[in-house]
Amino acid sequence: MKTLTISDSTADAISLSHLGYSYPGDQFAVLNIPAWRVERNERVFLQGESGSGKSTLLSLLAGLSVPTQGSLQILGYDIANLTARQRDRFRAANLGVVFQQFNLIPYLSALDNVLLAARFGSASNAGARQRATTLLERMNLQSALHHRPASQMSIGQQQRVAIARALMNNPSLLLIDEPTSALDHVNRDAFLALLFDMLSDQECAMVFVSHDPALGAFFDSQIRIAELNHGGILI
Amino acid sequence: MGAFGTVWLVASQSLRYRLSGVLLTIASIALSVFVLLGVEHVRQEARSGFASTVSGVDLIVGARTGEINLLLLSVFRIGTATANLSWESVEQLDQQKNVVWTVPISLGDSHRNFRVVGTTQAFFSRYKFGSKQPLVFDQGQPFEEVAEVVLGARVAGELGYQLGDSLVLSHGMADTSFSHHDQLPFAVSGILAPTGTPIDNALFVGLDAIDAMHSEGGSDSHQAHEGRDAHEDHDAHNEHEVHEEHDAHLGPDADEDHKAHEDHDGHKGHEVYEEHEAHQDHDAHNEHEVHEEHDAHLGPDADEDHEAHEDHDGHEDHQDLDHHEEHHQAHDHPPIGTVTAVLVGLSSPITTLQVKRWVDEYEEEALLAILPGVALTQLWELVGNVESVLLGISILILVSSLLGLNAMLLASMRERRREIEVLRSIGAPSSFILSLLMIESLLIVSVGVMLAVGILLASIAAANTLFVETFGLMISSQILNPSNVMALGLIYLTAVIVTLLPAVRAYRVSRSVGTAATAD
Repeated sequence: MKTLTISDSTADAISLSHLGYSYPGDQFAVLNIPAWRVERNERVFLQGESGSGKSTLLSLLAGLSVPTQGSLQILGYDIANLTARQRDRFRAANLGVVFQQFNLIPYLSALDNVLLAARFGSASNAGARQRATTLLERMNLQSALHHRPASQMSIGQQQRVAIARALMNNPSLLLIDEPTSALDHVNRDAFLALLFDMLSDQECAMVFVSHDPALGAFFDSQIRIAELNHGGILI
Repeated sequence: MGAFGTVWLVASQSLRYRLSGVLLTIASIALSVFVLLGVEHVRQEARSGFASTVSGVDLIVGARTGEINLLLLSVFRIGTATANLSWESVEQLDQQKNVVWTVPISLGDSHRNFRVVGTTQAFFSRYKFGSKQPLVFDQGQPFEEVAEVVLGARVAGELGYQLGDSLVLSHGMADTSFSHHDQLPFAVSGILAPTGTPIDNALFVGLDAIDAMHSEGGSDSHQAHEGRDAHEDHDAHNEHEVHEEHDAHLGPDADEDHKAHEDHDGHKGHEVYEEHEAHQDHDAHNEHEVHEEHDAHLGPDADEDHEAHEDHDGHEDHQDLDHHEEHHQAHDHPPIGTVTAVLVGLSSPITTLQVKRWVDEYEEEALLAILPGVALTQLWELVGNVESVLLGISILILVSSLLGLNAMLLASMRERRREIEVLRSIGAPSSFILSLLMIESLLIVSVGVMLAVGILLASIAAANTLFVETFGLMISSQILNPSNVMALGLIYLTAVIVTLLPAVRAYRVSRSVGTAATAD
């Protein structure tokens, strides 16, 4: 289990071949991806509309579900070979996940939300509080906000707390799904600038999913899910 | 911060966050658990209270009738005796080797609709109720004189009698009974503490007092009822009354006095009413009855006296018996020299059936012995509709509280789907999520249950202070009887299942469908 927290730094961030996913008891494959790679430290923009299978792909990448066909390696680990408990640990230690909305436990303060992730992710909690505070401040959240329950924060503030939380355990892979869909343009650009600023000193790959092609310019590479996914056909 | 510490921290914040909903849920659980436990407790108490109407009495013996009839008559004082028990039989029974004590009771009179029990002083020490609780005198003491009466708590309370008050007993049970034993007023010698049993509704006098009343009152009212107006001789009647009063006060110590009167009486009757030849018989008859009665109750200790009257009695024996029988039918008290039933205490419970068989096979008279506990259970089965109604209510309440609990927890679980998904996304293990939800549910249910138990205990305490004084009812605080524990267990089980199912489902769903991003 220890190995789950120290990932193989030479392996690709994401490496999959002949990946297929279909819902239990369903012949219809939601996902069918012949091959895809994301290198270490690579920031990938994945563009796709809802219904293109992006949520399913993210859930597979996060280890929340297991492919029904093919192989999927995240940071060198074959997800299908891990137990549910191992996948939970793996996710906590190595991945940072940010959703569109509702990323936080509403009744916990910003600080506690970040600390909760640290609680699951790392064996030692020493300095966790200091690191969490620093991260929140770097995400432009003044210390007055740190103790405010998430439910009393604006969506923009919540998303910034979510990024801080995702980075708390020094993840090797960030999975971010439409984090700006609830933000206006000004806030969206500020948010992205902040995100890249945060990642500038991090050894961290990122898969950023959005329907908005305008965001693609910020990334190392961009790809449409439709190009990737040959799903939607009977296999 | 240990694993449990984290769960606890998150759970407490979560509960505080949805405080109003949590409080509402707790209140509703507390309410339904309170009603559930309360109704169930009352059901159990009704049953056990009923079963302990009389205790410490091993057998009740009466003339042969139905078991429940005898129980109703002797313990609840409902109904009338169809036959009675001769004093000889009582003595025979008393001499049985396993019989430790016998307490005769004689019914048939009343005071303002409360039944009068003729018995002996031993009644107050032998009769027990509840879990072998003895009768306690609130004020005063058992009757000692013939004209003394002990009142049940409710009799004293409702009619407002105090120690030393004087009251008059009536024949039969009817409210409108025209025949009162005004000639023999009774003084209140004692008032019993409330028991919550039929004891509270009764008046107790000595057997000799009952006999004394009826020796006079019997003939008096007998005449009235039979419509023997032709025989109604006021003078004779008056004279008789005078005589009677003396008679009533006759203890063993007053024999001479009695005799003195006897002579006087006979004399006077002849002198004054010589011309009323037709009534002469009757007069003599009355007089005779007095003696007869006197005989009967004086019993073994008055042998000489008995013999002294023998001659006098002899000549109209037959007529006298007839008279008594008629009299008995008119009023349901036993003829003089007999009792309605006998309470029996045995040396050991093992001998109960042995003595019961002796009684049932007794040849002189057709007798019946019942075990009070068994008969009470039978009676409860007859009147136990109350219990099944309460049981039905209990079940309905249990079902509705389980459904209510279900609905509330399910609603909060649905609300928490997203929360579970967030926890999953940051790598919270399933054990953390399950224990978080479980701690919250069990905490809510437990606080509700504790609140309910607390309120119920407080209500019982409040009710007890109220009821003991008015009804003598003491509700036990032992509310955790097996059926209540089972009901609580069901409530907890439901809480666990209702919490577990959505949690597992949410866990599964977030795993198979994907991230919370789909939740829009």
